[in-house]
Amino acid sequence: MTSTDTRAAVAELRRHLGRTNPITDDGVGAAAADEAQLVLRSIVTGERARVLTSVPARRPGAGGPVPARGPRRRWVLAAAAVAGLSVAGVLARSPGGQTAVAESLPVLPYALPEGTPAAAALERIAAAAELLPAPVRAEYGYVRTTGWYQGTSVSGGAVSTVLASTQVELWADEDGRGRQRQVPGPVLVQRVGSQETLDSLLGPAVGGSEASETTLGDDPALPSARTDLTRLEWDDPRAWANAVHHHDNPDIPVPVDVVTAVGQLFASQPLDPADRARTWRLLAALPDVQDRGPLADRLGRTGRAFTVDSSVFGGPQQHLLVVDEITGQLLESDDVALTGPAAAEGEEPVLLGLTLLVAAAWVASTETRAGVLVPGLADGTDAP
Amino acid sequence: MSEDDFTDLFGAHYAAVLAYGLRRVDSATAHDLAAEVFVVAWRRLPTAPERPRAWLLAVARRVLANELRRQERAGRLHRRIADQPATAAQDGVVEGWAGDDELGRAVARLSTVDQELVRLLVWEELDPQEAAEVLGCTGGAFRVRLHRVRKRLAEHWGEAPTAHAVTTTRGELA
Repeated sequence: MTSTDTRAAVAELRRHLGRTNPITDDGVGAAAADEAQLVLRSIVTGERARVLTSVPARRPGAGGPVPARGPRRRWVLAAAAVAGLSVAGVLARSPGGQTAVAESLPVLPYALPEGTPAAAALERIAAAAELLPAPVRAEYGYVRTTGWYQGTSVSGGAVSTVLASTQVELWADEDGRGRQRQVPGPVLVQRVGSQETLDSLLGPAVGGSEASETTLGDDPALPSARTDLTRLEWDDPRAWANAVHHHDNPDIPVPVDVVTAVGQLFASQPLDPADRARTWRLLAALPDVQDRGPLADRLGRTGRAFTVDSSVFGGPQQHLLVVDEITGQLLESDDVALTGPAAAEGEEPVLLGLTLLVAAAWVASTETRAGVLVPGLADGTDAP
Repeated sequence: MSEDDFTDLFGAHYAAVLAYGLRRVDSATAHDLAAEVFVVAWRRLPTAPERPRAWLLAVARRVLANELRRQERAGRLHRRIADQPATAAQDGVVEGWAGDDELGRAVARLSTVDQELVRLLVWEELDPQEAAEVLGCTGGAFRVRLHRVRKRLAEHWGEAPTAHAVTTTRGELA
């Protein structure tokens, strides 16, 4: 295609599709002027940090309404605002919508032993996984996870946070096409800053047990549900993590980027033993990853805990992986705020999110499920 | 980058980056996206890039893709939290390609990357070199992709309003 052809093609596209533009620059400029000055000032004064947290993205083709939620609620908290937070106990909202005092928070007792460099333990796990036979491949990679994830609402210096649980089942073929089924679960209130912020979190549809289905591969705004492992750069941890995360953020230290990417990768597709071995060897070569010894996950499955500390997400955090030492399967991944906005000074660490890998295997169809992962056993098999 | 240079960069391109977000996600996320892109620029850029709009939108694309994936992974929580009555007009959420329009349906059948190519050229009004930079591909690869997009759309443009242009396109591609 010559440059003339290119120009003609662009002009033609604009002529045919220009009217589909939903937002004109004029409208944006007028609406954004005041807020832009606030944004600019917050950036150059260093007050602005990462804020993309809990508001849902509406993607082309997605159904259902999305609330009119102003960005004012989503400003990163200044230290003074954090110090003024009130904590109003721990409440649980059951699927039936009733609120009651929770018996416990779904946070691991955070008394991990002192860490040691993780390389040796990770190499051992990689070597053990490598001995396992490759599973028989089927059309769909199936993963089932149970997770708890924190949602935050901020307004007028008040912050409320909740932890909501969700079960996700994902079937994806090599092209990322398939099915995702999600079932919401109980919601725990971690922090109440104001009625407004709490109300914004506890909408009428929070909690419940109604499953929702998503067809994978049909949403053009979403990256593929499946990472092509053959295209990952296994000798370049930064590039590896960028590809898994679909981002390029040099502000995140490489070990942190890789550890979080490992959690994301295992939660999106089954990994064969050889790929699990490669994954742990990749991690073993990185500094700052700590071996915390044996640890049972929330399903009581014994694995080995590895952590990496970070401070790039708005305060000191620890990212935890619990790994089956025989199969190399990831059992659980957690993100915990040690102190800072999500865990105010002097408080216990606060769970920001956790994902339990319940099942992961190859299955023949999007109606087939795999059995629960059991430590020490090979990959899950088809379940009835 | 000096504060003055950054202020100039911000003033020249904030609206374009915000518009990029508003065309793809809800208003609140779009505002956060725009701010986040400029946080990255403030931290990373020693000087203004050669094609600043393309550089900023490339960052926006990566940040948004990562955020969408994270939200998908986090499950329906946020969607459920946000499940309150509102209209698209109120919150500025875009619907994407017009659902009842033949051209819109044709574009919607393109691959993810090809749809983004069309958006960058038509909605963001980038030139091909800028759009290629945002998509992270070479100029040659971009032109090949553009050629394919034309071809695929031409197959669906039978009753398009600008029939002459469509006929011309088909003639060129035949």
